[in-house]
Order: sequence, then C-alpha cells, then structure tokens
Amino acid sequence: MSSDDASDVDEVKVSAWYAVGVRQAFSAWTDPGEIEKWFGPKGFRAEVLEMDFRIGGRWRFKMISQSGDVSHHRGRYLAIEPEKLLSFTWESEEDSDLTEGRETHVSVHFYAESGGSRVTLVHERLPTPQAKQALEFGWSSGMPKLRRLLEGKRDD
Amino acid sequence: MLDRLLDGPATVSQLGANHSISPGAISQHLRVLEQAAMIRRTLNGRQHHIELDERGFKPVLTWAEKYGAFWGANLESLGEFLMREKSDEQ
Repeated sequence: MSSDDASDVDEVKVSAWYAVGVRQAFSAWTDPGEIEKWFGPKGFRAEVLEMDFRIGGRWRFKMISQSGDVSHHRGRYLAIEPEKLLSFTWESEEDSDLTEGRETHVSVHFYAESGGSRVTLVHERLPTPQAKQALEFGWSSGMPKLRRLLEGKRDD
Repeated sequence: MLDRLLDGPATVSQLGANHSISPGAISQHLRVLEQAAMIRRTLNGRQHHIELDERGFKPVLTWAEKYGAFWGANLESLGEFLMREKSDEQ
C-alpha cells in the first residue's frame, strides 16, 4: 500500500526501441524543427508555437488533424538531462475535461540499448488530494481488474 | 479495502475484517472514498452495503485509454521519422 501503488492508477507508460543513437532520439524531442517533422499520431501535423527550452521554460504546440481539427497543448519544462531525460508538464487546452485543470507530468527517458536506443515515456495525471488519500488506502491490484469490472458493467 | 470491493459489494464489518484498524478509521476512510465518488453506500436496515462507484474511476480510465493510444502513436511516428533521417544520412 505504498504511494507507488496509487500512481499506477493514474499513469500511462509506453516504450519503444529505435535503431539510432540516444543523441538522435533526444534531439528529435528537443529540436523544434525536428519536432515539427514527427510529433503527433499518424495523420496529424504539429507546429511549435513556443519553446523556451530550459528548466521552467514554457512550450506550446498546435496539432492539426487530417480533417483540419486543431488542438493546442502546452506546459513547462521540469527537467532536461541531455541524452537521458526530458520531463515537462502537459495540458491539453481543448481537453480540459480529461485533466480537470490538474497538472499532468510527462517524463521521457532515453537509454542506450542493444546498439540503438530505448525511449520510455511515462505520463502521470496527478490525482486530487482526496483521490490520492483514498487510493493509498488499500489498493494493490489496480487497473486491470478495475477495467474488467467496469467493462463488465458496460455490457449489462 | 478497495481490493476487497473489486470482488463485489461488502458490509462495513466485512471490509474491516482483514485490517487491524479501528472501526472509526474504517468509517473515516469510507467517507473519503464516498466524497471522491469511488464508493457508494446503500442502507439495508442497519447494515451499510458498500460497493465501488464507477463515477469516480471512469475519468481515470478514459484518460488512460486516450493518452495510452496517443503516446503509443507518437512513438510510432518518432520511429518513422528516425528511420527517414537515417536513410537520408546514408
């Protein structure tokens, strides 16, 4: 029942391996010109509107879908360790219902692995103090079981 | 306690059965969970039946599904970009 258990509920983690060095992988996340060449799911393009690349500095991206839908995302940089770690806050301006005005944190970790690099991204949605207190009391099986339970209810 | 509720509704005394904490502490925690819409309570005579309340959990699941897909797709886009750059160099 540690606070680590609580964070499992409010966190998303994805990871991928690339056949390039960590220098290139880190640069793709930190050079505005490079970010605009790839950031966003397939079919989206990104524009870097603001990028004050230093700890505490603000960033703001615009994303445009194939059908022309526009969304804006912003935050500030929390940690910058070249070729190791990039960490920033994330707020989706058009999706405030998903973050409820709460801060979310994204950390991108870069590791040299098997002649290439591994990029692991963790996005944490900080729970309200109330939810955090509630979750810290007696939570260990977490998301998978809860998801099955709620999906079961949806089918009813 | 939440783990126990994943197996189905329970009474307050069933929830306290495996914990060496006082009934007072149990009811205080239940109030916190209730305020966060994570449990709901129904009264059956003098018995309080406690069950999980999906209202408190749905936003978290919706968020996790959305951003899991979003970041997964971003890492794919990054892979395609890095491979394009690599072949340009060669």
